[in-house]
Amino acid sequence: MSDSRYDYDENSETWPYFVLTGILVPLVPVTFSLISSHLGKGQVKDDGFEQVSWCEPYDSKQLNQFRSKQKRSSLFTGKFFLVVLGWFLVGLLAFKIGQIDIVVSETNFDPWKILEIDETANVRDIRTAYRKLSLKFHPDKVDTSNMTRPEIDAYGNPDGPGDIKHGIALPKFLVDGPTSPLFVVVYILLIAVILPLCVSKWWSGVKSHTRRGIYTDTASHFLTLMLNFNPAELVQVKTVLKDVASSREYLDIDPKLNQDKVLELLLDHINRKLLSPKEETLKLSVVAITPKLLLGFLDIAAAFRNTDVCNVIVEAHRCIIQALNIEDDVDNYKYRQILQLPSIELDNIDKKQKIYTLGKLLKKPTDDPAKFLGVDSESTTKKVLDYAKHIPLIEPLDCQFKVPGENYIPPNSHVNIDLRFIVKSPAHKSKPARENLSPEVIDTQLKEPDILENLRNPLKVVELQPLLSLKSAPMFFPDIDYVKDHCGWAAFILVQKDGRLGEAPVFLSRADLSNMNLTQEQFLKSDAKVSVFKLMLTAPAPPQEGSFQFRLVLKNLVYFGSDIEIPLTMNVENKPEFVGKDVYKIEEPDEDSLAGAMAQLRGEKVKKSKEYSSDEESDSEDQDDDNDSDSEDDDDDDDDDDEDGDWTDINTDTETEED
Amino acid sequence: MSLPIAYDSVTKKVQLDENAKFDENRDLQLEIDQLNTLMKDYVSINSDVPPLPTPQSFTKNLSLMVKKMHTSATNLMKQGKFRDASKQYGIALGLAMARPKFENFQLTMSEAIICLIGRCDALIMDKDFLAAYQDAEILSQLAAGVPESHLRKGVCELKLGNALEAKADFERGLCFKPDHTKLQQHLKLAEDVIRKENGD
Repeated sequence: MSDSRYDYDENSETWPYFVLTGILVPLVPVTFSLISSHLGKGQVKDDGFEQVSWCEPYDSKQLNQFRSKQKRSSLFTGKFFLVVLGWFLVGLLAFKIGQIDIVVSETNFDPWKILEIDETANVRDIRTAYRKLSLKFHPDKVDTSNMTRPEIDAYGNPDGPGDIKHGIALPKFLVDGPTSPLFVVVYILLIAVILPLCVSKWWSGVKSHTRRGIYTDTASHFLTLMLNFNPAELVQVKTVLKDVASSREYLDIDPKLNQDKVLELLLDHINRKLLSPKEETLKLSVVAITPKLLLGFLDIAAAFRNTDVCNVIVEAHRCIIQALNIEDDVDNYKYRQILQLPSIELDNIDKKQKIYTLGKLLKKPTDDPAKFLGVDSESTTKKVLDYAKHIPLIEPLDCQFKVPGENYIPPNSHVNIDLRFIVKSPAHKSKPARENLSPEVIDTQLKEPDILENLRNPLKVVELQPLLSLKSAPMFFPDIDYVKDHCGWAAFILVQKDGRLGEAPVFLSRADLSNMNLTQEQFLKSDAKVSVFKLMLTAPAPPQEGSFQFRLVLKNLVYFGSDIEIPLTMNVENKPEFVGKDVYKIEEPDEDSLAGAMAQLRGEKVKKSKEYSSDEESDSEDQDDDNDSDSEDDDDDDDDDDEDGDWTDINTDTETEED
Repeated sequence: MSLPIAYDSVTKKVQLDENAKFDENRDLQLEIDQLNTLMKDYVSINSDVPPLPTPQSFTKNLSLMVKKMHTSATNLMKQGKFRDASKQYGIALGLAMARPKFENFQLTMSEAIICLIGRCDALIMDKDFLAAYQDAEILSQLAAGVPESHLRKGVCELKLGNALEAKADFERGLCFKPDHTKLQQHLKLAEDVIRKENGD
């Protein structure tokens, strides 16, 4: 033994195991999350969000730079390199561990050695060896006390000193050698500085961001804005952008940015104005994070139930994504649905034509689309129209308030809005009539079986649907990944009585888009798939009966012209609690029968007992009360005494049968 | 904390400091204006404590004037002079809003709503839909439960070319009175326009 009381890990027997555990504990979950996030992205990528290749945006150079940089950074992040390094280390350690040859010291307990057999011996050999030795050393045969006594006296057991090692899983040179002060410093740094720093950084990160992932400073700025909201002032896209422009997030891009500069960049973006290359890159970085901030603002404005602000925020969101200013020019506003198509410019549009919607453009253009759009080549027109065809619209089939497991809405119940809709292309006319839908679709997609699974989690049907994906990514917005996650609709529920928001907005992000490719005949003849959206209301239904009017508003986050509004009425009613027997249409059991007796012993007893007991109290006791089905326990004895026909327990029942 | 405000002894009003920039003190200016109005009304009461704002104690002359103005405007409407009528309704509205601030507010609301209804109708008849829309917008907030408010707003929206919003307005009106024939007719109209716009 060395002069210190501890053994060191000179042969590297132990520390590789420790290090391996230390690396694997964080490495495995991180790798898992990295892989799953990339797999998730890959799935979406496969079915859509292609970049428009046949038309170059005005800032294509910077835009492509930005996107490729983003793509690179999304794959080769620091996290990615850390994971690779981690697995490399794991490999090294595994190799090292494989080479470790554990030396067993002489004093170690070694049963093979004691039995004098080979390590590969089978059970039979072991048994024989054991028997042999037991004959030799069995206490009945041999007196081993003089052999073991000293050991027992000294150590408390006959085997002598146990081989207990107190070790440090570090090689000796680190602790005892000249490097030991360094090691102590590293150790102190790790425990006293690095660990607290990491924890505090993590904690301040948690504290400084809201659930939506925006800075709390930004959120509190939005909160102040909403608290000081002046209802006499008109909310516009521009004012919303100005409010957002003072967010702290922009300082992370460039600390020199201020509110005016950010607003200027955002306005340049929606005006599709090309800046100097450096400014343009800055502009794209600023634009890329703006929609996220807008959604953070939306959350807070919705908490104030402010419909106007929420509407304008969604409008601003679309303006940023489509790079379209709909406020300064009336024509821009009028033709906004057309202008969101690639390669279309307001100056080229034939403004004599009153084609304001995608539907009109695709189905019944008053003029040749190429002429109206001012596009020079035939093939480009075709591509523009094809792009327009793939902008999803919602056609509602059925929308109502529902309480899972009930066919009416009881007071104070938890209600959800159940919207059955079909996604259609602007090229589709009207919607398939209900009777045209196949019975299978009506049964499975329009209705929903009241099975336990659906009752337990009403949202499950919604979650089973595919995530929305667009055929083409919007042309001007730099961050395609953001659009992938936010290409659906924001659903608002408004109270008709005061026009304010009833609930926080919910996002519709799952639906079946296969209808988009159907022809008009197929669509009407109903090969159409029905999608479902549910909005769970957090507030319970009103406590009193009556009709309550709401409006469901779905606003698309990406495209203009895909919004719908659906008026809704919530009829709260108090239906009498039905009695269990009605469900199965089984007649009430005879009160004289055994079944009746059993039935009364069960829960039904409580319900009628009051009527009966009050009858009994008010009326004279002699009156023969036939509908006595339930009686309270207290009355039981009286009944027994008074009337034979009035049974209260099984005994009386048998009596009547005997009669 | 000191605010950039000053008291002008001649006009007996509080003012924004001359050096202060108006742009930075928009909210302060609003509050100063409110304070001055309240002060002016308080001084004109001529008593230390304003009378209790019960529904009975109000300036009856003012109500009479509003009513008179409203009647004359309605007469103008009957003669088909919509522009003049809308102006008269505007004056009546101004009178209704000029009610001293320490009086019961209840009356102001109902008078203002009646005058707004008149002016909105006059403007619609005069085909000034943008101005009418603004009145209708306020009406649909102040008298949200009245289906006609939404009818007015919807008509203006429809005429201004926003058929989708018009449809939502008519639907909102109908939810308070489902058998309102005029709203039903207009809803159909709006739906037709939407269908046409969509090329269906």
